[in-house]
Amino acid sequence: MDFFNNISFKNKVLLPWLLPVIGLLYAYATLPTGVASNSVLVIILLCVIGGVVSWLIGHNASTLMGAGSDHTGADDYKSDQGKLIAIDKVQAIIEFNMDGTIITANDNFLSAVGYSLDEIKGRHHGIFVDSNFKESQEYRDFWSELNKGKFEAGEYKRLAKGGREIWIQASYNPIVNEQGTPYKVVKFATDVTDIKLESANNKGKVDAINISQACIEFNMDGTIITANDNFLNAVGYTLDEIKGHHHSIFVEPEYKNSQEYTAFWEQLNRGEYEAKEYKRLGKNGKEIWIQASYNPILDLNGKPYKVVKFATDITTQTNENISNNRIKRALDSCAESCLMVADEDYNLVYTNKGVQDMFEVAESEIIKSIPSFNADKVLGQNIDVFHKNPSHQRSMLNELTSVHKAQLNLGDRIFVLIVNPVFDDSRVRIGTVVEWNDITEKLAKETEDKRISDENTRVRRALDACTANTMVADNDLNVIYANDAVLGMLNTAESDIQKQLPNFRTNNLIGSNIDIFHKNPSHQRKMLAALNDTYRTQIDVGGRKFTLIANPISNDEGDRLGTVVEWNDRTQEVAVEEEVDTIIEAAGKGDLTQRAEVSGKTGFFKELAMGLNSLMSISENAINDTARVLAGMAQGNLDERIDSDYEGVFGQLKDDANTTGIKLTEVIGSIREAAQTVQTGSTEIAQGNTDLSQRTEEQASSLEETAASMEEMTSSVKQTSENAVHANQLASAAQDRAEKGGEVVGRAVGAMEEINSSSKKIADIIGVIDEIAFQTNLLALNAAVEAARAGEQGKGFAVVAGEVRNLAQRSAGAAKEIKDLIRDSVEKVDNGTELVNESGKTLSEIVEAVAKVSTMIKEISSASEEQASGIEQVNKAISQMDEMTQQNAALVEEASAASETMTEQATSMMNLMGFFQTEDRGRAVPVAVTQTVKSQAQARSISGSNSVASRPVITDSDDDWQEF
Amino acid sequence: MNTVEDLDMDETIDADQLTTEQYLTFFMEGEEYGVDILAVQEIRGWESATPVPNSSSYIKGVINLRGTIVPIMDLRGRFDLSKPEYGPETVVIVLKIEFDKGSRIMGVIVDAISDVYDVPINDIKQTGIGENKNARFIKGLVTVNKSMVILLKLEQFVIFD
Repeated sequence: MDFFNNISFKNKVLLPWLLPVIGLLYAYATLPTGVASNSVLVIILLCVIGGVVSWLIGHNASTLMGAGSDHTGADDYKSDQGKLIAIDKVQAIIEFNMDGTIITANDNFLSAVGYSLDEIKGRHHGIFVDSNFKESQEYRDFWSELNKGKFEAGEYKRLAKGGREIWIQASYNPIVNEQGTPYKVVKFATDVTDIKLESANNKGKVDAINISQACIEFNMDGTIITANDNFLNAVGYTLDEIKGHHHSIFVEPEYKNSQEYTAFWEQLNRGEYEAKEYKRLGKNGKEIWIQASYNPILDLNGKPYKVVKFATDITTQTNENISNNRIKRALDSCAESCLMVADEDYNLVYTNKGVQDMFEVAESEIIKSIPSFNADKVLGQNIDVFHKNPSHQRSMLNELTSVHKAQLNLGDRIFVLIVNPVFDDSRVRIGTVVEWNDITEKLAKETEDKRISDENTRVRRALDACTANTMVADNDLNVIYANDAVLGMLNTAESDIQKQLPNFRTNNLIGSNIDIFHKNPSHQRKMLAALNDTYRTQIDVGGRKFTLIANPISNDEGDRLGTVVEWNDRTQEVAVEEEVDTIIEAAGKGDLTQRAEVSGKTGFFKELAMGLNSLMSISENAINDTARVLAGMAQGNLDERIDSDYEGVFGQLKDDANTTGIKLTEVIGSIREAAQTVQTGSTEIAQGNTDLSQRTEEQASSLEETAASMEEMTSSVKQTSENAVHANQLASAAQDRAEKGGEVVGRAVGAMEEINSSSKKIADIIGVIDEIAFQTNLLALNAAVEAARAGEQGKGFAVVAGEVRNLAQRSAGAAKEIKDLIRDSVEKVDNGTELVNESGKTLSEIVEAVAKVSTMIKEISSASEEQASGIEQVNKAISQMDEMTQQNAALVEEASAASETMTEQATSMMNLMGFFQTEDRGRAVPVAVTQTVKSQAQARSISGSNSVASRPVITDSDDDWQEF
Repeated sequence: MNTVEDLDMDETIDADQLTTEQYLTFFMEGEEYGVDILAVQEIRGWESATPVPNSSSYIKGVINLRGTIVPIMDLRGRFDLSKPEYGPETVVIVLKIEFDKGSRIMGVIVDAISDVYDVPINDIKQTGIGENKNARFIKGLVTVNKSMVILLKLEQFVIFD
């Protein structure tokens, strides 16, 4: 149908008639072809089709004309057509048959549903709805209504291609024919999917607010328009009860009449928003607290036209706040217990006065542990500030379910903390309560008490275990304590004591009065009562001697508490002292034979007696042994030794005595050996001196010979020196002459050169002569030529010319000869010049050589002079040596005498050493004698042999010789 | 002039015993050559000549001899002898050469001038050395004082190769 819509009306009218005409033309064209039977059929068919189509188009055209029937004329019709096109552009249009099959759809519709026209043409409208709806009664009713010609409009949910949901705002318009029956449905649609979604979204939000919040709406005059269930529940009214009433039914009458309330509404009327906590009255004057916001809603002109109030009922919380406040006040006034409350994050939200006071007192101590601590700023801080390891503390606190006690040391202060977790009704942890207790002082006191008690116990135990005999009496001198040592002692001495004090019983001592020890108790009592310092005394009881040391006991305030008495039984001690005195006195007088009695003694005293005896006997033996050794030494016997074993000082004495013997033996042996060596040496020295004397004489004579030959040498050197001077003179003369020769040669060279130059001049002249001869010859020849030409007349001239030519030739020949001679002489002069030059060179070389010779001779001359002076010095040295040698000879004689004396002294020393008797003395002396004999024999044999062999002996005695 | 004509006919006429010819001799490379003295115009010492472009190698140039331009020929070059060393004895013999088309004056350079000899015509011997490049210049040989003198045929000099 689009096709028809798109062609002009004229064409639409013409078109139906074209087809039958075409059919007739076809028939006419095909008739002559002889296919009549078929042609007739085709003609009929075309005519029929043409008729039908003509009818259809005609009908359509008339319908369209009918749609525009309000207008008359072609312009009106065009205007309608324009509108349709506009609608087609803007709106989605689809046309259905009455059974719901799709006839056509425009591009807008196709793009909205995503199908192409081919895909949907001929299909049922059901493809746009979901299958449930398609099957429903509603859908069937929808189409049956349309079939009845009823118009349908609304928002519909439809399915686009691929099941995508779209929302359309659509109208289904059944088109009715002339008979009044609908023959098709045209649907105009707009895609409202986006709008639909947004409105759904907004509705969701509003619903959510309605569910969660109490909501009420007012007109601007304050009358209630509506309220939701939440609000109604909160105030306890039904909607009907409040609708149309003024907002003031919810407020207290005083407030209702107040300026403030009026201002509140005026503010809302200005469009200003307000939100805070309000106290409102519910039904029957029930007090409720709400957290509410009053929101004026503005119309499009920005003018408020209603107020929406959103509220939350906070009555419960408000009441709780009041209750909490009461408890807080109570806690604040609670001064003794120190309380602190932390929230679930352990921030301190409350500290009572008690804890605040406590912190202020302890601040200086706490700061030592927590430098950042400030008592005034505890509130609001986290409890972490009290801990070095907050994470541990936190995990511990987090797990806390019941009361927990902890001790906290801050500085020198000790706190006991009682920590209580706080839970709400649903067992959710909402905080922590901490109770502080400063137990520093209490702990200090307890520690001090314990220390004192321990100290007392310790003293008591010490006394029990002490071996000192100790007894304590109270102020009435009753014995209240006696240690194990005193009881043991008294038990031992009991029988002796009973002799003097028959009533004494050791077992009854504790509890009995100290008076039992005294014959005159009153004196004793008086004395003890006056006691203020250590008192010592000695008492004899039944032959026993006791030492007593009494000390008063007073407390810190100086009050007398009792007396402590120390006992000491000295009976046996005294006896032993006397015996030891006797022995020591004897020892002091050199009697070491005294001994102490061992039998009848026990313990320490027996030990003492045995020790003393052993000391005496050891001392006696040691002194006796030492005396024996020293006596032997005095008599020259060095072989005595101490063989017994001793310890300590005695051991030292023994070792020293023995060492003295050994050392003396060694020393004497060494002295003896040295004496023998000295004796041998002095004998050798004497022998050596004799040899030396002899050699010195020999040396003196050879020195004299040397002196003589040196004199001879001096004279010969002097002669050499004189000769050298003479030679020098000769050399300089030779040099002068050679120089003169040189000069002569120079002159000769000059002369030669002159000869040369004159020869050259001669040669030149000869050349000229030669030239003349040549020219003459030429002239003569020319003359001959002329003569020849002259023929017979020239014959004579020819002869003359021949003669001239002859002369010319001769003069030329002579010139040539002279030239040769001159050349020869020039050559010879050149040779002579060369030779003369050579002789000049040779002469200058001679001059140089002579100069060298002259210098050398001068050197020789000075050298021989130096030699002469050197020889003189040697001469002097030799005469000095001669002198020395003579002095040496005298010294050697003296040395000889001294060595003899030394030999004598060595022999006398040997004799003296003979006094000491040592084990090896028997064989030492003979060895020394043989050694002496041997060395003397050796010396003699050496001196008998040549002087070279005796040299070692001389080097041996060199040092001694030099000392002389 | 008659004498000269006589001399020219020496070879063809019978020998006349009294008839002698005078020859001026000169040296080149130790050999003595002779020219008819009547052909000699002048004997001069060697002076340099003015070179003439594009002339033969043995023509040394020309000299002005008292108004007459005379070409100078090196005879060594003409005879293909070794190159000459011009010295004080080098001389130029100026010849007036008569030939069938007339006469020409020409100077020839020689090593040294020697002598003038009277040569009896009968003593002149033919060379008989066969055809040689230089044979055309030789008139004959004559022995004077036991040495051989080569007598030159002057008219051949002006036929330049």
